[in-house]
Amino acid sequence: MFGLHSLDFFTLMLYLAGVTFAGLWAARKVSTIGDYFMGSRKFGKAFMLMHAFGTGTHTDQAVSVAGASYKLGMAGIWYQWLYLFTTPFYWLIAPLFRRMRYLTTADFFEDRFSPSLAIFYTIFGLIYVSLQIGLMLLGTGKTANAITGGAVSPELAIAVMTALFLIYGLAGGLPAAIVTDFIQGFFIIVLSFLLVPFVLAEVGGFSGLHQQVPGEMFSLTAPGEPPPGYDRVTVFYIFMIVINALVGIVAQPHHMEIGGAGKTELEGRVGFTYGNMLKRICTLAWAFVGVACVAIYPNIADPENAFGMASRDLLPVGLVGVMLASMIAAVMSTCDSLMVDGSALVVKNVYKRYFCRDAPDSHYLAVGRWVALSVVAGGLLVTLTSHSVVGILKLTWSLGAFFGIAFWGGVLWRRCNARGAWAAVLVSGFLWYLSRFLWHWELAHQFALYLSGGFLAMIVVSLLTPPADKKRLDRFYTVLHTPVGDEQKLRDAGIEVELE
Amino acid sequence: MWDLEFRRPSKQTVVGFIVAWLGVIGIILLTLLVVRIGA
Repeated sequence: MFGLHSLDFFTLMLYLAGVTFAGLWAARKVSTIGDYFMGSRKFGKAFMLMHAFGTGTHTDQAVSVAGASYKLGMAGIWYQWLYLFTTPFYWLIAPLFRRMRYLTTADFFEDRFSPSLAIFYTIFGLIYVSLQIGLMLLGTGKTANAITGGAVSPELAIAVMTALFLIYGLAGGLPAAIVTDFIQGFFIIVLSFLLVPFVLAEVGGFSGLHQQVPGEMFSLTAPGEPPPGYDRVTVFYIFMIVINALVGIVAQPHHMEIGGAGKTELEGRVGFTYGNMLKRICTLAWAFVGVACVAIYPNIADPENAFGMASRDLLPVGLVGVMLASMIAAVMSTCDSLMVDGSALVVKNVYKRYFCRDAPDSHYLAVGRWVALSVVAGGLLVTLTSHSVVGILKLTWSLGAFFGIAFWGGVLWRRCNARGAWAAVLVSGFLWYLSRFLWHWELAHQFALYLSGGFLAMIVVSLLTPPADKKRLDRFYTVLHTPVGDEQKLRDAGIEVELE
Repeated sequence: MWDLEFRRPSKQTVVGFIVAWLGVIGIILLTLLVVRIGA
């Protein structure tokens, strides 16, 4: 059935039914926008860990890392390890999101800077989540097609995955996403490691692998001339992608809820840091599979098919279904969260702010579900217009950093004002455009240019223009410096927050 | 003087940050070990 053995098909159906049931079960208690968009900040460490892991890990990453490693060797691991050295910083960043007590990152830009910047961020956020959803569906569609030997077209795979996460995601919002992520996280671990023993057996173990694959493929850098579409992986490249990631990570729309949906700051810290640490370990397995595929399939036209081909050819009956279920789990666990995050931006920062201020929560929930549907439609549009997973991935790396500069300026520097923040976003975006599309610089040099230009513009413009209103700044920094659990201090100071 | 908003970090912040770095170093060592097995 669909190119699958009946046992594989049964395994797949069992998973899909189970996860849909779990999502709908979690949806029962959703009645406010605080529930729908932030899960009422009630989740513990285990759920937060698996949520960060599930949302941050998706099938296209396994596909792209295995593909890049097929071309570049183990150095291809940096296509996902760009955040490796930023991971410890999540321990410092997560409490910011929880302490700000916002529902969306656009709330931060409005409160700290200006409504216009919040609107601009909302537009960016929608583009970002649509690109990400498109990227994931595209990568997984390709792989499902490869696994089933072409019996399931990428379009059919994308349609089925989309329908399934929409069923429970629309009903249950973030709580459904977090509960299902708990289950899906285990499947993602399976996805990552299931192939390893089979590729090793195929190539004759570790020693057989080293005999069949050139020694330079085991290096973590690839300083030589890269294949078309890939980057030269040097120490400078790694350094710049780490810096870029550190700047941009805070502006990714879903990180507000990944850091903020926990009961306290510690839940956010543990989830954000160790959920991502788990992902780094899984990345090692993806890269390893890619390198092993060099020995198994010496001439693959599209390296992004390597992971799917190995799954189809090497896994025994029964485990192919488990692999497919795991791939779908990895996509659904991210798409459901991103869909809710995109919806939160529109409902909270556009619809509620400008069009309908005082409606009951049931009204905003209904609007939120329609918006979520539109966000997913945007993602599907991306899948129809783009064909390279790595290409979209590199685009999303840069977009977040423009707003990340303004975010860090707003958090760390009291003198930073709205004009400075606007300058950071516009100047860095402009420099990115010049260096990428007109000058065709290497990625690491693009990062160096727009990050330094953006920070410089923010500092100069902030210093040359009047500072922000002191009362507004005092309110912002009082909230930021009041630990979760000490909200009475905020109430005593006359400060109201939307969701403690 | 520079209007920077840094605060003295808590013990949880410092200890957790160090432990997280140890985790990263552990992952890199694990990777280096894996690529050398059988070489």
